[in-house]
Amino acid sequence: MTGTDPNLPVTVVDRVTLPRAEADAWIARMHGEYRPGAEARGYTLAGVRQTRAEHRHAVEVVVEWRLPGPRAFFRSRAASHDAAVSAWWAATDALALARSRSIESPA
Amino acid sequence: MTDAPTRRALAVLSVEPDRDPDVVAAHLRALAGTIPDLRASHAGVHLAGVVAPAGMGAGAITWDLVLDADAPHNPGDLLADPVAHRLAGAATVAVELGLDPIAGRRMPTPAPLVKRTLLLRVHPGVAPDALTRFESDLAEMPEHIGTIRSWVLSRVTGTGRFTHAWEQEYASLDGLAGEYMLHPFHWTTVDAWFDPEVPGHVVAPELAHLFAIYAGSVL
Repeated sequence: MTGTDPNLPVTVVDRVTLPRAEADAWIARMHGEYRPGAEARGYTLAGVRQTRAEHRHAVEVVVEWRLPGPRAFFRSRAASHDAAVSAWWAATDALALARSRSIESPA
Repeated sequence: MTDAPTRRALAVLSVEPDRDPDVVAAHLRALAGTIPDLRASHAGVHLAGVVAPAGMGAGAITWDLVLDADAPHNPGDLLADPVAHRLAGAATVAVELGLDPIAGRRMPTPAPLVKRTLLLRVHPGVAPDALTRFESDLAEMPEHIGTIRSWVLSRVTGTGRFTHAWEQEYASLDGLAGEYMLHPFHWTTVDAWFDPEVPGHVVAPELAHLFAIYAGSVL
């Protein structure tokens, strides 16, 4: 892993496994409750997808975000302890069957 | 000079508003050898840009001590020693800790240099394998980030607000503000242990990200 380009794009990928019956409502809440704050922190929504989950009657929702570089990423991290962010993920974790977040660089 | 074993301690000192931090730091450095058991005393005044709890920000001081291994003192005791009379009323201990190094490397670096100290607290109850992986990822950073010169990763002895000290030296501030912060290994891998939005993160929010310029190597 090399490269210290300040303009290297940062991709943030959330994978949330939800009961199939809950997925649409969670996505709607994500747009209404989480996305505005994320965008205020510098995130740009790059896509929302869903796919098969390992769990029966569940779906994996994939939410992809972009930031223009590592400095913007660390600026966004300065607000990641906000109570609203914590509350969002606590509510999500109460519903989700599994969840991960990966921070990715171009290979 | 003796080869008796030594141990390291570190304190962050808040400097009283009517005192010059550079003068206080000079007095701290001058304590080396004047107090029994104090082998070395390094002090650096925090630069603008540090991120730390109240009283530990810019203008506060990181005080690095090397003591005889069996010395009973902690940094606060030494400040109260009569030999340190020039420091009376000048500074207070915001935090003090003993260091139990678990990994590190020494690499000569021309003076002046920058030493960065990150004090952090791992959440209680973190699984041992997660703690090991976290420490391993931190200790791997110098393999990727070429601007890191000497470094030490330590567990903090005793109980207190911090559990780990992650210290590095750089030839210049650019090495810390540039490559260290920009390298993908930092923001894709190491930072996940700190990011509260990542399930499985292990580090508590309160950090002390401290850095100062030193006339010579500390680590």
